Amino acid sequence: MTEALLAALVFLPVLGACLLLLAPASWRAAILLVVTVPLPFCLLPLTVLIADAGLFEMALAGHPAPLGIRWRLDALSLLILWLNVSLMILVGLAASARFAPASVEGLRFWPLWLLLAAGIHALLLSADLFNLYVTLELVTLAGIGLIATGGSGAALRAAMRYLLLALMASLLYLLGVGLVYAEAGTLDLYQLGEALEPGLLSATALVLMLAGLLVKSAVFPLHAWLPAAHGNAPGPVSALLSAIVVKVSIYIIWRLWFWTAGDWQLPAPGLLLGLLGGGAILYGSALALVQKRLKMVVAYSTVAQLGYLMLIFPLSNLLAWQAAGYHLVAHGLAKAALFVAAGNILVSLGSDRLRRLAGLDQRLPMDVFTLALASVSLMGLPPSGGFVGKWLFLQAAYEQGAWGWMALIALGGLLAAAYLFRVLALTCFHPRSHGHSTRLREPPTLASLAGLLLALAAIGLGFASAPILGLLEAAWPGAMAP
Amino acid sequence: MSTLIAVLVPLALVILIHAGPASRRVALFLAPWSPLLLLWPWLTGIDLAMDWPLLGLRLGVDATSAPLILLTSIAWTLAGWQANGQVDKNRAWFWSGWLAALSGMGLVLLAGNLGSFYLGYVVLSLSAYLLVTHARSNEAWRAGRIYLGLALAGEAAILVGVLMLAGQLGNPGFDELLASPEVLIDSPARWFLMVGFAVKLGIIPLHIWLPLAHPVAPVPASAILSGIIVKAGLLGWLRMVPALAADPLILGQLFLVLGLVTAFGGVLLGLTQRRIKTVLAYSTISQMGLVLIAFSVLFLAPDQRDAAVAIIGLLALHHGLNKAALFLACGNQPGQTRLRLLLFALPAISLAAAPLTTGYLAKNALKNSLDEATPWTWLDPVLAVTSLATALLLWKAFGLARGLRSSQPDRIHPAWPTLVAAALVAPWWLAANSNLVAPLSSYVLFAAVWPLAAAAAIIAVHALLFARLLPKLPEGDLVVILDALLEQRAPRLRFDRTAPSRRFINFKPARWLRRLERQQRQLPLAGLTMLVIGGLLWLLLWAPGWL
Amino acid sequence: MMDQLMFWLPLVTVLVSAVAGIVIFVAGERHQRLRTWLNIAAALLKLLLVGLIGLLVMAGNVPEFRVALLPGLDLVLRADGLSLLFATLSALLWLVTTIYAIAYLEHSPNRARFFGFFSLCVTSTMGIAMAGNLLTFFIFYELLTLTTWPLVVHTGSAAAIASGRTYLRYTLTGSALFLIGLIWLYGLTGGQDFIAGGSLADLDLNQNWSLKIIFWLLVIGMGVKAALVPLHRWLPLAMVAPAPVSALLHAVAVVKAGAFGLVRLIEDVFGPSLVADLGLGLPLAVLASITIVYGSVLALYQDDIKKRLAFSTVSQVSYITLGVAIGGPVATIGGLIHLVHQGLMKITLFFCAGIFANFLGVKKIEQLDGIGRRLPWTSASFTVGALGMIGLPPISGFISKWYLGAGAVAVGQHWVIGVLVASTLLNAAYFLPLLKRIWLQPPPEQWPAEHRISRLESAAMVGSSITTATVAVAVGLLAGFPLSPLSWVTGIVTEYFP
Repeated sequence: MTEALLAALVFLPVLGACLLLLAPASWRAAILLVVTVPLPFCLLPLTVLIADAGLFEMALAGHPAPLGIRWRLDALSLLILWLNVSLMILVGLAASARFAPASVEGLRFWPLWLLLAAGIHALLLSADLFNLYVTLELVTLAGIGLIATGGSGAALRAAMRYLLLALMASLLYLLGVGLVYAEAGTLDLYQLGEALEPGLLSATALVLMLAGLLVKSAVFPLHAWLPAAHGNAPGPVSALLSAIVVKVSIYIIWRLWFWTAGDWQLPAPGLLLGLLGGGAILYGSALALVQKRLKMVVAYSTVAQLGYLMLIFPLSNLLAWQAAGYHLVAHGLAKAALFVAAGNILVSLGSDRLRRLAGLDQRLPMDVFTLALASVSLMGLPPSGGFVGKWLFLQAAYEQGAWGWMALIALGGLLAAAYLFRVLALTCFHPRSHGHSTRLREPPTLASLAGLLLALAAIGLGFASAPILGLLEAAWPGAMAP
Repeated sequence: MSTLIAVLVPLALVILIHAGPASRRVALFLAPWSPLLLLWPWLTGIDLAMDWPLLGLRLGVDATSAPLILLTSIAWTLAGWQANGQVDKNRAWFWSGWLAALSGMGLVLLAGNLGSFYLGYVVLSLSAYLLVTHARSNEAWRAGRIYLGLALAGEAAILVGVLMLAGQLGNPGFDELLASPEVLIDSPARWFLMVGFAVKLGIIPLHIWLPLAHPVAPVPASAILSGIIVKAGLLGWLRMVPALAADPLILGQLFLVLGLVTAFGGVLLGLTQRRIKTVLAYSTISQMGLVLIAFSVLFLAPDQRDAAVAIIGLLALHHGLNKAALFLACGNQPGQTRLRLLLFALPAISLAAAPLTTGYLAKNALKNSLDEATPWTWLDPVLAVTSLATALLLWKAFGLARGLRSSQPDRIHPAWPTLVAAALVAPWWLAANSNLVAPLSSYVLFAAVWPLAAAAAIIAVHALLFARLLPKLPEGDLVVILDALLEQRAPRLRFDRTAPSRRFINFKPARWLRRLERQQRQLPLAGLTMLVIGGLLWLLLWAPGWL
Repeated sequence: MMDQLMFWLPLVTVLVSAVAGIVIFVAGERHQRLRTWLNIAAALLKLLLVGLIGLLVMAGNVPEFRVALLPGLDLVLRADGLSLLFATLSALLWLVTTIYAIAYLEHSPNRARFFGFFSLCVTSTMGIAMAGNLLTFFIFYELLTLTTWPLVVHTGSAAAIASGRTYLRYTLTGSALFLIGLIWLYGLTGGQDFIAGGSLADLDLNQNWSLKIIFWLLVIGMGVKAALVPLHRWLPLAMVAPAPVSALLHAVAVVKAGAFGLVRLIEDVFGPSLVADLGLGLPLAVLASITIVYGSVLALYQDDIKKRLAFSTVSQVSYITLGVAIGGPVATIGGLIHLVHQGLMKITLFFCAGIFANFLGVKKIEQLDGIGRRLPWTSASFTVGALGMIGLPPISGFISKWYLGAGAVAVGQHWVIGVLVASTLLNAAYFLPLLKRIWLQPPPEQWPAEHRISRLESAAMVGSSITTATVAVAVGLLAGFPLSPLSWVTGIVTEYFP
């Protein structure tokens, strides 16, 4: 039964994607519904299971470990699965207004969308390095395809650059995987820990994989592809890319670091990764502050916020783990809300240049409200999911007497406030200039509503932290030396 | 409650004045007579203690305040009567100030504890500003400014004292204050209070507001300012600056000398003046010097407090009535007829302490108590010389009064002669009541007469003396220094840049950052960065193995 | 049933205005009548609920709402004497300010937005008042920053946006430091509720240096809103906002929240005795004194009425800090009671300044000449506020000053009297010239910009200012009355200094 549920998570979207390509246009909406609606209901029993047992493993098609494909569900995967499913549904609602399933654009868009979902689900369930590689490729390619559905020149150029870098990264990763196999004779994520001794070869392998993954997750200073790609993709696509796609490669880094290399003593490289995160926070925020377009601000904000997820490496204790996980979820929801709202604004104004956004609160109140709520969470102001994440990070840093990290986190919050309040001031309070008339197409209520729901969820995370923190605690690879 | 009416009725009248034309007519009709309400608590002797207003209110009349209550109810009423006939400009504001000051004065007089007194004193000081600036000329504004500045400085000193007392005693009644010398002896509170009240009394060098304010205020207002309101400071002294047995003798001697300086200084400065109300104002300063001398007796002989307080009360009543009468005269063309000149001369002679006048009565009592309190024999003649000096100053005033006449004859206002009569009688009554009437002897008579004779002699040759020797000083003498200081306009410092800076969005590195970022997007650079990061990571991962 | 009531009542009281605010947002610009009635009804309901809580507390109950925000970290809303003081003050002043604001903004755009945030702002203030621990306080404190910013920049002029930016820069930086201090404190002690006399006092931590640093971090966090020099710059700039907002900033919500936080910090977190042991009171008192004098001196140099009032606030709010920093029961009473008194007086002044600007276009001090004849009631209210600020009896400011001075002497800090007197004189120096212009100078031939104001609106605005002025006099005049704020505060303080 459980196996079937896990399989459904992956294969239902794949099946949907195939059906979409084959079925007549008028059926597509129904197909979409049929393949997405069951997903949360698949997750529900799984949650109960994980809450009880903590772990579930299965071998696909009955082949055991070294040869067959093994799936493994634990609390961390489950949490990100939930995030992904919620995003798929809510952002999907927003996207359905933009890409009507029956239209030609819909035909280009939705299969890729479902493939992306399937890829992410499979990635989260995969238990060996090679499967991770395959699924990550699937995710990347689907993402690139989705960016390209924006159709504009800028979007295509951005997709192209993303593709090149991602391919390079994949090759590095694959090289690392090869070395690991040569050294350890297995690729199982969770068995490698014992099989792989620290040494020149294994270190090189780890570095190769990490380097590839850092590029894919756009960690500063390897973020060069991200702003253009996320800034030029269609709103819902940017939402997914920023909220979940970059996160899954960080998820792999976490897995490698804390599971595979879990009992290596790694303070120095951990510090380096932390410093990269710190650099991301400062640099991304500074650049977000000087952008001229709304979506670029949001994209650079992603660069900055990803930095927080790297702070787990130097801090490396349970609190920091919970903080990072919480931040991942809260940021995912808030960022998706921001991109959906920004997409709505872009569609209805025909431009997202900040200068032209004045007086927007009168015209698109709901989207601006979404913008504001999501901003609150991103800035880490209470009460919001962002605040809980920030609070936990600070507490973790405090426990280790890491004053520098505390200062950095506080500063990061301030910088986020700086660039987001700049946007809010421009949209809401600057008087409208009369020079040019802007075309205004009311965005579909459904899209605005979806954004609002996402933002509300981000805020709501501030109140319902206990279950998520419980999941994260269960997922903490506790044997880890701090 | 009935005790409060003396305080509340004037305030109610202020409200009525501003409420509308009809109520204003009623209020103005009643206003002059409201000081008479002060007699009520005195006559009935009802004391009042309430906890809920402010920090606790206690009202009542005692021997210290009785003479001043008598003074206020007579002089303020009569001045108000005259004002009712003579002030016709800006009536609403004049009467608002008048009544508010009365209310404050009433509270000062009746107050039985620290808080109530302070409240009354503040109301009095502030509302007197409206009286001083009534003319709204530049001169009046200037006088008002200086009055207010000094009054506030005085308030500040008083506030310091009051808060210090409050810190140790809460909101003490004045009897408690007297009963706790152990608190007072160590605390500088008394000296702050002393200085603060001295402003109102016009003790040199804090006197400069008096000669400026009196000439510009309307006549009846000058009368109450000079006759009554300055006495609020005196009451402050009596209430809150008690002499303690443990005080060193030198304090009393210091006050005595300061009093003498003020007494003579007031005269000397007054002789240089040319306006009658200014001259009278300086005379007030000089007389307050006498009051300070009497006050010093408290410190020289702390055990005889009651007797000294009685003398001070007599002195205050005598001066208040006579000085108010002299000021009221200024509004009645005293130079018009001989009768009017006589009416002017009577209080003047009394102030100069001619035999049988109330001035003589007061000064004699003062002399006797000083004789008992100090061994200094030179004091008697010096005190006599103060009478001489006062006589000279008032002669000057008399000369100026002769010039006050108008071409059209106008009626004399009945308030003035009534006040003169009251000034002749009331102090005698008070003295008789408090056993201060000394038997008349030839020696005493001589002691009272010779200063006047000497004054007459000096006046006979005054043309030779004063015309050459005395410079013409500006009104308010020391104010010149103050003016010089104030004229240096306060520097226009900008402590705070309140202009918002706009550098936030377009902050400097923006362009530089964007260029950096554009270069980052180039693929070769991205690859290089990847190599560098990977290399670093590799080094760090492997470093432990090397070492 | 009773337990349920005790549990939910604080939350409901806090959320009443939030619900009103959200409905106002959703209803949008057009539903003016609905908005007006909703505003007034919410304000009345809130007052009623606060009154109900007051009765319950007087009967010896402790209404408390508690929910876990993070494991081990509770969001606690609780009503004790101190929170009721602040809650009652802001509920009352909110009602008045609402009425005033409805009339004031009658013809201006974006009213739905304004009143929406206005209501949310009061929600945050109420949350601050009822906060039962430092975390809850922090949450609502941040919320207050968020909800006041749209009000500050409401007009959308360049100056307004610039001042909003300054506001955020100061408050958010302050709150970042606040957060670090908070984490540190929680790290040392775990989540502690506010306890009269200080929750840290009994822990015996032996962490004096940490505690000192934490104290100052938290002081900075709250000092930004309380406009302690040198963190005060945002306040004078924020006066570009409409008059009701200034009233809200200066009297009801923002600076008060900061000052209230300092009170909580000293009395309920550290506790007076610990503050004294660590030697923290004196430096804070000195800082407050510097603020008092500096704010007053700067006020002298302003020629804009509202700016002068703003600097006056900088100075006056520090009385509260001064009082609690000096320590000792009497000075603490002085500080706490000024929370109420300053609110009443300053709100009156800002109401009046708003009326001057709205009716006649009078914004500069030299334009005030003779306005007493044109707007007698407003001018009278202004006079009451100004004289009260100077600290003249019988207006309430005097009571504060009396207790502060007496309390300072009682604990041997005589220098404080010098500060109080200097402030009194400076206040006189910057307020009395205004009064002279208002009442004694002749009016000009032509007012700068006369507006036609309907009778109802002018009645609402002038009535509000008269009401607050009257209350400001009454609480001073009847300070000894058993139900007066002074008696109330005395009751609270006896808990801290048994």
